[in-house]
Amino acid sequence: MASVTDYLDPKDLSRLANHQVLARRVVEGFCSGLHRSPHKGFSVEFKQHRAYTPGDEIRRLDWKVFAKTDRYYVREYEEETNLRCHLLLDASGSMAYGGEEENGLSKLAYGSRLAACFAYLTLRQTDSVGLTTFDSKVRSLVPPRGGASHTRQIIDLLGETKAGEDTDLGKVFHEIAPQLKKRGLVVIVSDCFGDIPSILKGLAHFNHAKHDVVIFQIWHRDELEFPFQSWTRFDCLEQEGIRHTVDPQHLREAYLENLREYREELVKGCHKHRVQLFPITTDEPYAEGLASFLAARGKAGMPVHL
Amino acid sequence: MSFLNGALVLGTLAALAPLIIHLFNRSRFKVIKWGATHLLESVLRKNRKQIQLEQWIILIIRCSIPIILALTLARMVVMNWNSFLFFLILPIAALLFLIFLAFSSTTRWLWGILSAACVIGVILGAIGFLPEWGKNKEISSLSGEVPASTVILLDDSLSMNTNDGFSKAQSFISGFLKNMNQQSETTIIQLGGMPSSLFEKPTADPLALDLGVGNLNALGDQASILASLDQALTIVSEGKNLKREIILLSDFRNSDWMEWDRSAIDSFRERLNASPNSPELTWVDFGQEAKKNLLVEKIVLSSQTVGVGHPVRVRATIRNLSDESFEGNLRVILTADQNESTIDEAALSIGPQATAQVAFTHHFDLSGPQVLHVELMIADDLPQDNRRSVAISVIEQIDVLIIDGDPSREWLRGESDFLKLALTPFIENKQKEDKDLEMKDLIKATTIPIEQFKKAEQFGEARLIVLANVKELESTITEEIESFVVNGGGLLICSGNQVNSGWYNENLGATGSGLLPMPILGEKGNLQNELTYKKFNSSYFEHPALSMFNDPRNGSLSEGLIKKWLDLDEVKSRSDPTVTVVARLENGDPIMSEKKVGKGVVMFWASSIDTDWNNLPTRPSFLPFTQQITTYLSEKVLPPQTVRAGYPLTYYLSEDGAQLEYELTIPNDSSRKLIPRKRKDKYLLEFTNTRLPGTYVLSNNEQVIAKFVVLASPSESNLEKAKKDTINEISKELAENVNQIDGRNGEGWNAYLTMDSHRKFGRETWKIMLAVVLGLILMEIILLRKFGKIVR
Repeated sequence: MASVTDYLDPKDLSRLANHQVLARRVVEGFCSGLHRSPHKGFSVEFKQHRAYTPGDEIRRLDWKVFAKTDRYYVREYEEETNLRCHLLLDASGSMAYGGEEENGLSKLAYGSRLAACFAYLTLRQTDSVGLTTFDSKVRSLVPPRGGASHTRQIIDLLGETKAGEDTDLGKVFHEIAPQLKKRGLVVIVSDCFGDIPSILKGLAHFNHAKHDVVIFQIWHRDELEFPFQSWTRFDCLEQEGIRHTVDPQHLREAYLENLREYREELVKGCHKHRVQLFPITTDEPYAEGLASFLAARGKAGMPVHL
Repeated sequence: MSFLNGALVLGTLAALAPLIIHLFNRSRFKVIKWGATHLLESVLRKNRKQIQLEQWIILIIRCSIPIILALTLARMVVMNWNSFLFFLILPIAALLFLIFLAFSSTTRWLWGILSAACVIGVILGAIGFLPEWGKNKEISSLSGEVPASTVILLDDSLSMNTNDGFSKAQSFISGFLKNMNQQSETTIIQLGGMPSSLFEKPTADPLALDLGVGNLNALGDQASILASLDQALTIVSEGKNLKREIILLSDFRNSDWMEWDRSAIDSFRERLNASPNSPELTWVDFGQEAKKNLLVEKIVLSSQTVGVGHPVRVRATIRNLSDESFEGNLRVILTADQNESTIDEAALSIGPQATAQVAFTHHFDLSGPQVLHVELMIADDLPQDNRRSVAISVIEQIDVLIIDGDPSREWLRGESDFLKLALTPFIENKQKEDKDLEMKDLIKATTIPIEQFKKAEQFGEARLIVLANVKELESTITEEIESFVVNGGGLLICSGNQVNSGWYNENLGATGSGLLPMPILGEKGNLQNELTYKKFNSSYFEHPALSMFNDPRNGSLSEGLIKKWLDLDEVKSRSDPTVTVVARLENGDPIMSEKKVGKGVVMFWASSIDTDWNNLPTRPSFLPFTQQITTYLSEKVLPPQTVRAGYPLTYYLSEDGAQLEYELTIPNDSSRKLIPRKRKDKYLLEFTNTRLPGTYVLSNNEQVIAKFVVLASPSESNLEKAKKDTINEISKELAENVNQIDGRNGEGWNAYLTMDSHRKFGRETWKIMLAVVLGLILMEIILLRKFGKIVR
């Protein structure tokens, strides 16, 4: 059984103590929380006046406005509700890459810690969080719940999750989207390796369901810089049997160009679908990355750039 | 195609290194489990062929660099320049087109075709299908444009003076040096006598060479042509230039080309053929036919050393090598040193191809080293051999006291009779009434029978005492003799049947006065048994008293038979530095030994000085033997002062004399400082570089102390030319092709230029190859930065 401290380092948590997870878009819910709800119910925060129509509750009439205008208007209030956060963790084979060293931190491990931290923050602010792990299909699911004890379930699932095989993000997104009943925050922790049009279609599905989507794109430094010098055989982590023996120095420029194009396409697509794409590398302390992400999100309307 | 540094061609094997490294790297790869395969695959899918092409180009460049570098360092020389360019440019063009192919996108097909065409062209050329211009085998460089490594063998022997042959040779060299290429290097070797280089190393300074040659004179001894060719081949084989040549400037006299050692010729030819870039050989003939030449062939003195006021007879042999006859009208004069005035003269008759002798008599008024010259007053084709010189020492007369231990009234029966005859031959011949001779002896010898030898006053002015077969002496006389020797006098002890060995050992040996060099053990030999007779050991005499017998012309001591002699105990004297064995018999027994006692010297003759125990007194060598011993013991002996060219000059010094500084003036008026050195127990000065005939004058700070005369070989006066057939035959045995030029008319240099203009040499390629190597290295550096960026 995984230990909570494996995934939640007290130092990291203290670093994030003052941050809150905020949904950028309005989400549904009825419990008391930090997030705007499209539902106008009784609330402490006044929203607007509306002309009285027969059937409105008399207690909602604003007598001051009547005194001024001799007309009947009712008061409408913002209804604060709880955030429903869905964590989607990519557990495909490519997430197993941790560098040339055998015991290097893999992207999956990094992503797991990131997800755990995010879940903790969400639960701490009395919001609910759920976790779904997937590769080419959904593997495991912890439905969104609130409460401090829910952390344990999240951690247990993270501990059991090992890197699988193929990735098919688009197909998985299509599969998951209908299962999310209420609008919420969808946090995707993945390297987004795959067919970009398919991925974007999947994201569009979330978008259509009015979810607030955030992608933490996990990179390893090697994937970004391709620092290899001597002849190397690259064995594919997702498909056994695919191997390429190359002189990396000869390919480097072409690979980096290809990588740039790939990232550009993904950024454009995310921007088009109003998905916030936040790249992060495994050599960057995840708490730092998460803190800067949350701080940026705290400023309303400021997207986080790649 | 040839190589100047052939061994470095093996460096082309280094081309395998990049290939091996490439294969090694490919076989030793890292394995990485990679997640972003899709990013890699798309690159590989689009660029696999491009990547392979780029890798091939880099590999070709890396393999080409060591190959071309090795050929550069090996200094490849090509005879067909066009063909060389064909096989250099086409592969480079193929490589360049391949690079264009790698960089281009739209015109790849064009570059591919061009590259393939170049490769096909190279292959066709390799199997013989060259274009016409490439087949042209005539080579490019004219000989005069090519820097050369040259050795000029300059014959400066005496015969080159005939009809200005030597000055024509000097003019030839001047012309050669004026036209010398800046990067050429030249060595000039003088052939007269032993070959001698003008400068230690080949030089590119024509002015220095011209100056050096201009100061030369043809006075050398007979030329050693084959030895010089050998030396020249060694020098030119290490030359830095492609064009190599040996030029022989000589007069091609018969004496120089006769009796060449066949094995030496074969050895030279083998070395010449084994050389990868063998030199050309060119003979230039400066030897005019000579019709008329007379020479002073030989001078014989009655004595090498003569006393002041004593006459010396000078007998000269004149040879007439011409067909002209002289009837009493050939004038011959005698002169001394640099004195131009004639001491004496004679008019000689001599027939064609005949010899004649002329004799002079002269006496010197002052002691010291002297040189006499005999000269023919006639103009002929080689004036330099009309005069011959001889060195002579003039000394004060030597008083010698001979104690006869076995006197006799009968002539030649006394112990000392032969000795006295040898020491004073002219007085003994006073019966002859040839007043013209007026010869006097250097040595004044007084003989006293042993019975009358009582007191020291009888020593008189003697510088040498000879004990001839003396049995024993009174003790007072023994002491006086000891004192005489210690104070600088000489003592010669001769053995015989009267000698009392016991007395000698006791009184003159180590326990007595210490005059005896070695203890006497007994007698050896048998007068009746000829089988026991011994001769002198014919080894080289190092002792100055006998060094004259090293020259066979002065006689041989081995002609004497020693029948009986005293056996000496050499063992005890081996550790005594004052004792020296002067001569040995052929069985190793010391026959003459010496001991230094105080300032004087004692010599012990182990046999008799008369004919009782040996027949040496009856041999011709007895006279010079006794005279030399006598003058040595009187501190007057000198090594030979008239020597052949190439023989060393030696002068012995006293211990005091060894502290002074000495200078030797040689015939070309330069001088050398000589440093005294010690050989065994004697100090001496020695000079070995006597290749120049003439007078050598030895002096210290105060005065001239010796004069030497070095003689050229009389064969230099034989001006008969070697037959053309002989020269051609020998030349063919030396080398396949020898250029021969006639320089007798003074046009030797022009003729050489004409011949040289028709010669062409292969061309070195290292400059172009080096440029290609540098270009390839630069190309590799640029391509490594550029390749990998081309993305399709």
